[in-house]
Amino acid sequence: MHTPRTHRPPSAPTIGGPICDHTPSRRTVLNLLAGTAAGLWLSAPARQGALAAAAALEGGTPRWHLGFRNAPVGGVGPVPLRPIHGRAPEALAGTLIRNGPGQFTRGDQTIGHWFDGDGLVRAFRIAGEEAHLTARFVDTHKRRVDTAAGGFVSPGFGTAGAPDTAIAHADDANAANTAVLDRGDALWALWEAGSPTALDPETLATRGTVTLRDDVRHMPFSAHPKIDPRGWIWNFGLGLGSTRAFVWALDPTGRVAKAATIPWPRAAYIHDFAVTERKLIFPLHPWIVSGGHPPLVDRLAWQPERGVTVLVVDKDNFADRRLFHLPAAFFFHTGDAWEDAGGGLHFDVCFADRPTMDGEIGGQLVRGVAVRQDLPRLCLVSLHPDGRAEVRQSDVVAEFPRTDARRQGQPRSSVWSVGHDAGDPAPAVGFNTVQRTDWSTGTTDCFRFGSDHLVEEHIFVPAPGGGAETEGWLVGTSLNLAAQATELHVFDAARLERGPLVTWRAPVALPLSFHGIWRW
Amino acid sequence: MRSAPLFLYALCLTGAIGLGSNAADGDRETGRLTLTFEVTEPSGAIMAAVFDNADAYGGNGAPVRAFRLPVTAPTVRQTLDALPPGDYAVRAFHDLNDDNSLNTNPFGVPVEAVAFSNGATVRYGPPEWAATRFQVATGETGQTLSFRR
Repeated sequence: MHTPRTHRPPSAPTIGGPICDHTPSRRTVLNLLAGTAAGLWLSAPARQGALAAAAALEGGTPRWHLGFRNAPVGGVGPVPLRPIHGRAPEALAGTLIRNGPGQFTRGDQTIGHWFDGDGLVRAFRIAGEEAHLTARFVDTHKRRVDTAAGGFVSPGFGTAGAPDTAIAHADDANAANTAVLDRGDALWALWEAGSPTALDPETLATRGTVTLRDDVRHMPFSAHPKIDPRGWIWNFGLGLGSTRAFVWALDPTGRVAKAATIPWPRAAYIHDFAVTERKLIFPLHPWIVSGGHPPLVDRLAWQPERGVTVLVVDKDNFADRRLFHLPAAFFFHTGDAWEDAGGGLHFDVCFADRPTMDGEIGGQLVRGVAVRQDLPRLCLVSLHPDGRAEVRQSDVVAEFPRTDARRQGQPRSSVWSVGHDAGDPAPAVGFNTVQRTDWSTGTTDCFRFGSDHLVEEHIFVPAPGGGAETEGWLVGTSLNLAAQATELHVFDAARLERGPLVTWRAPVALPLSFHGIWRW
Repeated sequence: MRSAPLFLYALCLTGAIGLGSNAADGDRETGRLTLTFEVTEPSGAIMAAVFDNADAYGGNGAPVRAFRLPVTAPTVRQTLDALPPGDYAVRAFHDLNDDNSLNTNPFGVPVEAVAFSNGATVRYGPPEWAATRFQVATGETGQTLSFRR
């Protein structure tokens, strides 16, 4: 903890790691031992888990591989979840809707990369003390083609596909597997290289590909749109391998108000961006795409000597742009951004030293092979009006940062994320902690689930009528490896260290997912 | 997923309309080709060009026939007479908005459906001559092109 980072500017204060002694530190040793004989003896898993671990020893499959196994073809439920702890907050009645890959093997084939599995949308409905789960695959063109072929013939991020598969446009390869956007009368399942896919918000049945406007049909609509407090949606799309990208703005009625190509200073592949009230911020890390055909990972090169170029574009005038420079870093996700009174821009981002999920790692995950861990840490980037840029580097191992949606683009202090204690050995895969970092106090409080859980993204849900920054709940899921089941948790967002207010357990283990939303 | 220029279609269709030769060679036996087009939206028009060699198909040369066929039903047909026997290939697009051109999105990807002879499909760009060619002999020959957007 409190390890200084060599590329941190001297002026930037260090944020301490999680105050996280609620779980005996001995248990963290199990993180290293998970899936080994020692892990089996020490963790006293449930019988089912023990059997799985024993099987893992024989077959060499680590127990975390439970997070990368096929969901039932027809989906799940609706099925009730079993309450196993606590009581649900009365005012919390709504649905956590998450998306993530759900199929990794078909016939005798294994998919090339975790990111290429067909989207499985999961709705966890909470009403009173009861919770139900419904999960459905998004019925994409890709899924139909692959199913008919009995394998993985469609190309993707890290999957080559078959050489004769017809690909007329990006939506022919759209896995619709990354995130969800609530459009009121529809849910949109998002990918990052193609169009949204509309779903029925109640049944999760697929309605089809969304064409936002005919002249921009099949243009990429990425998985991390930002919704400002007035209801405008800002998003981008990558022109992979080219020095241009695409920017979208949908007005509160859903009309395409802006859809334009912008110059991209370098052919960087990025997954997320940040937005203030007036600016679009694109941190272009040095993960550079060259020309060629899928899989994309074969065209990606990590070029740390080039550092990070941050492109800032004015929302009202895309020609008004500015570049900032930072030392090399890699990110998948930002928290959110704001502009201070002096014109400085700030955004939280999870920076790692190199790509945390490349072609090799994504393939190893689905095959159950041990992976290399490069840990992202929570950072606050500041872009000053005088052209200086700095990184305030914390010791908090963090991914899937989330903030209060009501404060999108506005100053605030809290950012929630998942991670693990920086002072302990990393789990073999994934995260075991939920945490809240407060930039104003420099503190992080957390709850550690322990080594039996793979913790997924948790999102902040404001309490109805509440206005304070932490007045609400943190809602999310984990995969309990011992119970071999997905669990749904609700925390008091201000008091994570007290543990979940309520936990329900699903009758199934769903594969790990990426991103979710809350729908009242 | 891919570099956009791969999707740039030099279909050489728009400029080719009207350039096609209808001259029949009465001194030789010729073939009749019936082209069937299946569409998902019965509106607009089919814009099609017929080539008899790889160079012309690839953009370096003129089609031997080209036509615009209004679409009034899910299936429409065009018959081409007096084709000398040999290899041919057809490129077509469904001009939904009747502007006589293949509309593309800002990254150069067609937003109107394209189709090719011999059942050849698009993979990041138009298929090669070898995948699209078919033989016209004396007598009747048929090809069906299906559009999917």
